[in-house]
Amino acid sequence: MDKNSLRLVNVSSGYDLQKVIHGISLNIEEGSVVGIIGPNGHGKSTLVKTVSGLISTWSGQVFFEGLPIEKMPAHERVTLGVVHVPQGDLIFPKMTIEENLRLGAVLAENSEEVERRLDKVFDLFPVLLNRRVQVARTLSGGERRMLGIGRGLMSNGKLMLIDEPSLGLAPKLIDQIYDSLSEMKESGITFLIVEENITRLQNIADWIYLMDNGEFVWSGNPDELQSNSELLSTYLGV
Amino acid sequence: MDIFLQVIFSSLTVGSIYAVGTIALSLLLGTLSMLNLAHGTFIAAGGYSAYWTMKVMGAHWIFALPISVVAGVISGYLMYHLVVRWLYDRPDFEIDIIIVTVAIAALGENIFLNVAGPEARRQPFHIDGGFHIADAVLPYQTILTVAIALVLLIIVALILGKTKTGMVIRAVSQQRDASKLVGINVSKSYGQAIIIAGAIAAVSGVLVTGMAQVFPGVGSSVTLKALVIVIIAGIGNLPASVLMAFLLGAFEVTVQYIFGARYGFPAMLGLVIIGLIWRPYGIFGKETITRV
Repeated sequence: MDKNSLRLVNVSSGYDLQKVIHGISLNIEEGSVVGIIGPNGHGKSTLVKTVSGLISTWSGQVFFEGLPIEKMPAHERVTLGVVHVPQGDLIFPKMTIEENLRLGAVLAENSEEVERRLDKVFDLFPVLLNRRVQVARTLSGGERRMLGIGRGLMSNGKLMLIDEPSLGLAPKLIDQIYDSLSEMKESGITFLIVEENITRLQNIADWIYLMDNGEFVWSGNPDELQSNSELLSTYLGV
Repeated sequence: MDIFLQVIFSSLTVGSIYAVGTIALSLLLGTLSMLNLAHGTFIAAGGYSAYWTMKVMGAHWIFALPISVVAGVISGYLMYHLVVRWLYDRPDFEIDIIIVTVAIAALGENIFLNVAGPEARRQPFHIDGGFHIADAVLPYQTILTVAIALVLLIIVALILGKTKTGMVIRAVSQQRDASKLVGINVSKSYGQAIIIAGAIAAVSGVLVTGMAQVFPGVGSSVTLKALVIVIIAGIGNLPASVLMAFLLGAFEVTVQYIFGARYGFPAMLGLVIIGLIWRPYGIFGKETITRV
């Protein structure tokens, strides 16, 4: 049994003729939280999309729990347990919060299980419960983020790929979202979280990859990165 | 008074033909942004299947609509598997599908021409007679067509609003990438929507040809009018399309009674042009802003 939840071997990908990811390799153990940080526009989101199948893998291999998935369409990866919460959330704008969340569990056969997951999401994000019949396009940025993460949770994934959970949010909301992610971590879900800076990942991540121009330029634990002022100033402008 | 009543009844007749002819086109355009110009092929398939069932096989009329549903499902299935599944994920799908369905419409018309011949045939799925009120007549066929148009509308509303398949089709129509990320097989959803539309269009075909005749090009004029109605009503608004079908039918018939038959359709198109100048997004449509 492969203890790795996710393993990338020399993966490259991009858009049209533009190669964005250049031969990336990475391992994520089951139950761990791995962060990818780096400047904007250097391939972090592209890498996550490659893993979830939204864009195709040009070369290299993607393994989930030892199974090669790089040729699998995105919807089939979800059935295995790979769940992607994209940047900008990609919600269903004309549907209510509850419909959006229920769509996260569209593959679930057992309706009691769907209700259980729904209760769990509403426990984590009470604001969604209060607005369950509100149409999603009317939500604020923070509420959309919560809905995106909540919908990801409804899929009951084993590996959650979360693209910039703190993007554009007020500090209080970011705290709330990271508190929720910490709770979810306790339940054994594996996380790959993309952020632009180290601050938010420091307390939750077990391992950090620093990305620049579509390549990993450094990896280590969060404390090592925090103490490396040269890396921080060169790549993150801190 | 009699003329007034007759205009109302004729308006209902024309409006009901327009309404049934519009539902499937509006469904695909509203849910998948798919302008199916082969809509007329589904219509003709329905018309010919009912003709074949009753006239050639000699079957009871009760079998005509179910057989047409089967013909529509097969047509939709073929269209999805042979064409749409190869195109739906392309960035220019909305343009590509217009060109491709024009070709399918031409191909379909030629197939019917070669198989069934060029003659216009009387559709046996037709109820003669009607209610006589004063000196005006409300044909039974009109009542049947209006009733089935409303039933089709309710069926579509129930499928889209109350079933898991409908919820998934709505999800795909709103956010395709998000649909993939929750595990929806987007390609399959396209197939389901096209098969549903095919079945509805084929039933429409039986009713439309029941008012007129069956011939290879019967679907072309229905498609043209349905397209005009869908656009002026507001793309994607199915109940509004049906309402608009009756309103435009009434306008066309009124013009025909006052100025002569040949002015009806051109006057209706003139009204549509004025309507679109006033509200480019359709009378019942909503203005949308696309962020670039």
